[in-house]
Amino acid sequence: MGRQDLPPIKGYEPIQWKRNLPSRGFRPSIWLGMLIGLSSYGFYKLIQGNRENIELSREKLWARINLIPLLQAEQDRDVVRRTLSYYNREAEIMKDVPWWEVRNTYSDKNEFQPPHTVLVGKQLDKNHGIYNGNSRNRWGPDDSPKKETSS
Amino acid sequence: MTEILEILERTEYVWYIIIYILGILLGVAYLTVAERKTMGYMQRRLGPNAVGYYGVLMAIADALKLLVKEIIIVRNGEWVYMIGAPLITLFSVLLSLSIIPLNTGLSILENEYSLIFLLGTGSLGILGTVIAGWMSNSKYTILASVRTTAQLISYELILTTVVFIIVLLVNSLNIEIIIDSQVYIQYVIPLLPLCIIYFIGALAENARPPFDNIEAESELVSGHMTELSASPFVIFFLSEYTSMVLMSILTSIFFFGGYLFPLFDINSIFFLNIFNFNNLYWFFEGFIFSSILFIKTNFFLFTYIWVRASFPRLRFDLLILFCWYVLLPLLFALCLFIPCLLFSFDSLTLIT
Amino acid sequence: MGSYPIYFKEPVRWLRWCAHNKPNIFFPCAIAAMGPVFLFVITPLRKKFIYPNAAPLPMGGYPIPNRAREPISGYDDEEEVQATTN
Repeated sequence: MGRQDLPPIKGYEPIQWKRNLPSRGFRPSIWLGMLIGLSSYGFYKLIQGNRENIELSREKLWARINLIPLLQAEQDRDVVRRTLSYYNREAEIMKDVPWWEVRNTYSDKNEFQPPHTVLVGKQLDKNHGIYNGNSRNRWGPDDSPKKETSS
Repeated sequence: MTEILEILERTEYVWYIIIYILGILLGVAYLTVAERKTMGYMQRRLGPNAVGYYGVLMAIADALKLLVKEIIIVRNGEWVYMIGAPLITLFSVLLSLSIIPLNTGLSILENEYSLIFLLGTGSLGILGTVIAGWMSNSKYTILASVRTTAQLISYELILTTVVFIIVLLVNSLNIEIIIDSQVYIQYVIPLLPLCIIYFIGALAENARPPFDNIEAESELVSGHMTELSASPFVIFFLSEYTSMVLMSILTSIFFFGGYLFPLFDINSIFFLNIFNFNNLYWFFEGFIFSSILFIKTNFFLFTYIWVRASFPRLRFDLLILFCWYVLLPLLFALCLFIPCLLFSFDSLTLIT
Repeated sequence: MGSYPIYFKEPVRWLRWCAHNKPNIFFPCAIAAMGPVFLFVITPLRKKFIYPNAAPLPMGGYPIPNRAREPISGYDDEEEVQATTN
């Protein structure tokens, strides 16, 4: 025979009738104030940063502007050198044509025109084909004979 | 040996992309396991625990199960659309991932117009759902795809407007410049409400709970992909989770400084003194900074799962009303206010 | 429901009513209305009391000096070119 279920001798514990609601935190206006404060600090730093960025770009622009005369002079020297060598080449190629007038045959005599064909680097080397490979020569200068391509 | 190196060098971008995509897809596969495991613990159950230790191999088992199943092609549907629709969605997300910089200059596609590219590829993904719904020749899938399109287009407007405000602050579309200008302050501090709005928009854009009316898993059998099974379904699934990763990465880039961490800056003397400059240095630099990015990303991915486990679903009309009546007026107001604020303090960087 | 206030009779109470019943419209309008305030009120104050505007950036490239051009001479360009054509 099992025992009948009976209440505990000292009686039941008191029933908890009060709900355990979590705290709701601050008032909404305080949350809003905290948000506005945080955003204000953020915008303060952001405005500082943007102004610094403007000053940095000003520095970059002035650096480039001050470099312009130097670069322009280099460029002019280069153009003169290329022009002279272009005329020399033209004279050497067309030396058998008597009516050919170097620099003036197919151009306006009064107006200076820089050469429109410029050979650079390995194109000037007569023994080398036009370089077809990757421009980043990562594995060092290659001594292996390249495949000759018709130039 | 030299020939092999040369071939590897000429095809190096292919290898980068293969490694990148493999990493993303593996990460996404484990994201699904992480989601099931996390939700299991949040609901006081175990989650996947049978395959491998602690369910580690569950992702591979799932993928194998779905890939081995037979592909059922709908008879009246064109098979091109059936295969193509999921692929459009997946490729649009993978294309968007190509502009994500893991470190300075360490992205597949770095250009001055990253954000334009991002918005374009983000919009392309909707096409896949439209095609899938229309292709199935069923009124339920058509309805689902209309529903999906309405939701995605609405919430894309939110995301675009937030990105627009950030572009106003930085005056650049280059994503690396956006990260670099957060050296001064991370944008979560001035733009905390926008950060929350962006996260909500990202939740809706990925059709995650509590905004998953478009394909509620138990009630509205998979929405626009009812007729899809096996591989096409897996690709839709994959693209959904990949876009989750993408959105988390974008949130951490736009608001939390991406790969930058205030105390662990690339310019700090501390960092430069740890390592010598050799080839290993670049490896460690990339590793550390991309780890910072992905730690931030993981926090947001966890938040996606956390939200899914916590919130009940919204009704569809409330969802659309929340977008057009609540979020959009607020964002347009901020769009008007923030340039005025910047102008009045002479920091509207129109030229940088 | 009760009667709602009319704007022309009691504007303050109307605003309160709007803030309580249409907060999604009211607060964006309030935020947006702060923009012109910043533009037209805060900007002159900031210029006067905090800091003036930064100087404009030199976007025009190299600043051209404001004077007539002086033709240069003495660099013997002509002779050199003539010499090569022969």
